[in-house]
Amino acid sequence: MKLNKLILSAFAGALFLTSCSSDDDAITEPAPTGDYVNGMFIVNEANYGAGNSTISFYSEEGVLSNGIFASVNGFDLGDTAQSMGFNDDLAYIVVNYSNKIEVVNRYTFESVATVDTGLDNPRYIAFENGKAYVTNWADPTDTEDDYVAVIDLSSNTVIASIAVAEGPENILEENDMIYVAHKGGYGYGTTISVIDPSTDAISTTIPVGDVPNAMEAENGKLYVICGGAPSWSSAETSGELYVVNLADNTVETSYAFSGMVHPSNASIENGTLYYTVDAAIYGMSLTATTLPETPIFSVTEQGAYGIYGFKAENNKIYVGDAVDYNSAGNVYIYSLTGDLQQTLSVGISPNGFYFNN
Amino acid sequence: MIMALRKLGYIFLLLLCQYVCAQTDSITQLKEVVISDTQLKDFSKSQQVWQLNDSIINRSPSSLGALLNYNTVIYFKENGLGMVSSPSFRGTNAQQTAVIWNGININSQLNGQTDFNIINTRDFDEVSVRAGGGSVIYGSSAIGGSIHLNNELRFKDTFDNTLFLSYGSYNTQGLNYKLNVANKKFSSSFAVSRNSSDNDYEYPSGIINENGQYYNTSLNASFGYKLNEKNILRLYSYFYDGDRHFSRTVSAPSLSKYKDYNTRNLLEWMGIYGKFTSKLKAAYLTENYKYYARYTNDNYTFGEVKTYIGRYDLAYQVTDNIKLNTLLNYTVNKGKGSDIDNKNREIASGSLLLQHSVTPKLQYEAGVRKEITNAYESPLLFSLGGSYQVASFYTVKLNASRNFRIPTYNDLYWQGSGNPNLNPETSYQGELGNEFRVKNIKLTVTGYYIRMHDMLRWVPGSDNIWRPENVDKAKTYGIESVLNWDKKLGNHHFTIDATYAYTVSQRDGSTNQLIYVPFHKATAAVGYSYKGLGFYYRHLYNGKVYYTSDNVSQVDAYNVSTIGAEYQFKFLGGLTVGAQVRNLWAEEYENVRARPLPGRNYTMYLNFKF
Repeated sequence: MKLNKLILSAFAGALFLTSCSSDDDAITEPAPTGDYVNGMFIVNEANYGAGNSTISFYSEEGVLSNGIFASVNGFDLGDTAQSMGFNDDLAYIVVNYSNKIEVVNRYTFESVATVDTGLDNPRYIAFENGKAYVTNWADPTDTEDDYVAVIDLSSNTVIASIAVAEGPENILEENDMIYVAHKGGYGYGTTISVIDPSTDAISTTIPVGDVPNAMEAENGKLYVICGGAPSWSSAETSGELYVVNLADNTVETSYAFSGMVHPSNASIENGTLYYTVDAAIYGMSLTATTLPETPIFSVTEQGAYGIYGFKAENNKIYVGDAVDYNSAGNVYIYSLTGDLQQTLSVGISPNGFYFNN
Repeated sequence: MIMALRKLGYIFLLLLCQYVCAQTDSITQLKEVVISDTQLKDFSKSQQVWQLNDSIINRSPSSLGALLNYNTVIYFKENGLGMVSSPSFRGTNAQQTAVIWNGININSQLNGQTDFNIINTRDFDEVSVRAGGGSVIYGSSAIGGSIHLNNELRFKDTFDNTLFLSYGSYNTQGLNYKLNVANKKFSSSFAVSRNSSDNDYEYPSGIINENGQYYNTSLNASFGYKLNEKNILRLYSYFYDGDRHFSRTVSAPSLSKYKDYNTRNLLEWMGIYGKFTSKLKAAYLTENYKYYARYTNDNYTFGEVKTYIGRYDLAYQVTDNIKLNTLLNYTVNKGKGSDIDNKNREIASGSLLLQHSVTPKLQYEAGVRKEITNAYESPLLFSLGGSYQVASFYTVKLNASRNFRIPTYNDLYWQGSGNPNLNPETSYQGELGNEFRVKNIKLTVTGYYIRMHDMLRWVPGSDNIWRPENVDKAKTYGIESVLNWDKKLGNHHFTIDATYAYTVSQRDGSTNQLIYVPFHKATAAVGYSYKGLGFYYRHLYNGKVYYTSDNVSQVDAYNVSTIGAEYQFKFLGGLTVGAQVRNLWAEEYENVRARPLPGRNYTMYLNFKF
């Protein structure tokens, strides 16, 4: 993205130069500066209770820096960093067990603010209309107290909370609407809530399969990976892929995984939806009408314990391996066909990848 | 005579000793009839047994974990003051140390370990530590060693009351009342403890240790009745009811709470028939926990196990120098919980023990044990050891054994991740103990090696679900030494008691130290008394521990000290008043990552016998 901006700027500058041959400084948007301008952040969740979450940065030039939050800011990030989101020049790190969001400049990683009231077991974040929307499980044993916190981005304070069904997990903004997947907590979720940011109320609820644990939007459609009810539940179910038409928020189609399969993760790159089943990575063309029979590849060749973080981006597949969950985790970077290109030793339990460009 | 001896001994200990070691054989014969766990004396001669006496118990915090942490080689991992405390004895884990209450193994059936902060030491007459393997006698978990909590019952005219009260910083209150009533036919002992604390100390960063408050009540009652000269009935009962909030960390608040409710009952019929001593025992134990993710509502998860034990213990004195002992045991566990499948488990076991004093200086002992159960494959266990007094000042002890730790309810039956096909963890281990006694000095230096097989570890599967598997092999070895010195010059009494442990503990395929096992740990206690006045200083050095398995992150080493003074008024049976400054040097330290322990704090206590 950054590269595109540069090219555009250069192109615009060139146009100006030919027309009035003045210097281009006046009209080029100043490029962001900082140590973390182009590359990928890795959220390392680390150990629940130990307060040792960290952020790693892997630059486009191939330089890895671990523990950047503490090294820039002089204090530890907190306990069990769950996820991260970008809005304008800022990055928001959701720190689950610390019940807070650390707000930093996304280019320098310098601390800007901490949101530490109004959050209770926060999970994921999305942005729209000058506000952030954060899913909160609250008390995991209480199925009635889950909510989406609304943060005013100008003041970094929680200004409202929207009561939702149990277990709100992934959240994303698409077409100016906020979509919340209810993975479930104590029980098992089966819905997507749609929040209208103009009213901060739920505008509709979309029924999907059991345990929608991942979703991604593309070309007016929402792809929802439903993991199915787990083996220890009273009635185990196999996973499903739901496709929702965002024009009217109705289910367009769904695909059932045959047998008893529990898929997770969802990431779209180059017209293909990538998802995982245990250690195997599958790709399904968005134009396909059946689920793929065989995986593209499996991470077991790397001796990976499993897939803890997952993302398809920049024609690559990124896998976070938590190893034993109590030592430096690994990140494996593959081509879209599964050729291992790079291995990184990052923080403990890498759970997500966020691209800063 | 016994009483007089005991009283004399008691005063002697009160004034002098921080720490005494196992009784000599002549006293053992007397003691044999007063506690149920006779194997601790009769079949532990090739290993180290350390008994913690009353004076050290009275000068320590009420929890078993704190007592042992400051006075033995055992390392404790404590999740904040008063929170869950788990031992690492000789580099093993918490499930490889057994806690034995009046001869009965009371480690949790659910998680296989004992939380050392939910045992109140003052409920017992005798707290002993037996280092090294003991599964042949005590069953599961006696790998690193075992902790023995015994109640004594003596048939002598007695009417003794003891009241202990303490008050300290953070509104920490302790109460213990003991009553012993006995005559020649009947003996009873009754103890009740109540402990509570706001536990709201300040972290070095200024954060308050929120949600750390706790209270607990425990009750221990023992009754003995002599049917005749040959038959004695004994009943032991123990109740523990605790309510602990789990405190916050430096980086995360907490609203969670944990309730423990445990009961233990043991009925024993002992008969002495010539050279045979027969003990028929029936025990009923219950354990129950409730975990509240938020104390602010009534939602909780729970686990509960009821355990029924039948045991027959037959000892045969073959000759004056040879003892044989068979132990037949049948245990039924009935477990249920919000996260475990309801399961019953039955375990039958038989042990045969032999002890032979070849000469007054040379003895050996041997034992075997086999279990039969439907829950797992059980290995044949053994123990073989001996001791030899090489010179008047030097005794050498050797012991080798195979021990085990059985899979727990959580391991086997946790919903969605329990693994019903587990085997017990097993160990082969050996130790060489050296005891030196010169005048007032006793020094023991013991080297040990433990080889662990089939170690259970919860490993995440490719589906990111954690399941226990018998995956690991590990070795742990080290040296532990204990030094005791006392000197009496007129009315001046000096004591020094010190321990040091060097421990290496590694999983196969790695040279990294296992997490939360320090390489070095040392304790030292110095006491001085003059007539009724006593001063004492004790110090703990806890070496660094790693908290990540790659040994990249560590909790730093720390030094923490307590200084105290007490005075005994000669009033009725004796009224002792004392005060302590804990963490004298105001060390800022953590025992577990992100959980600072208190700075300098104060305690006063009163111990009244009447």
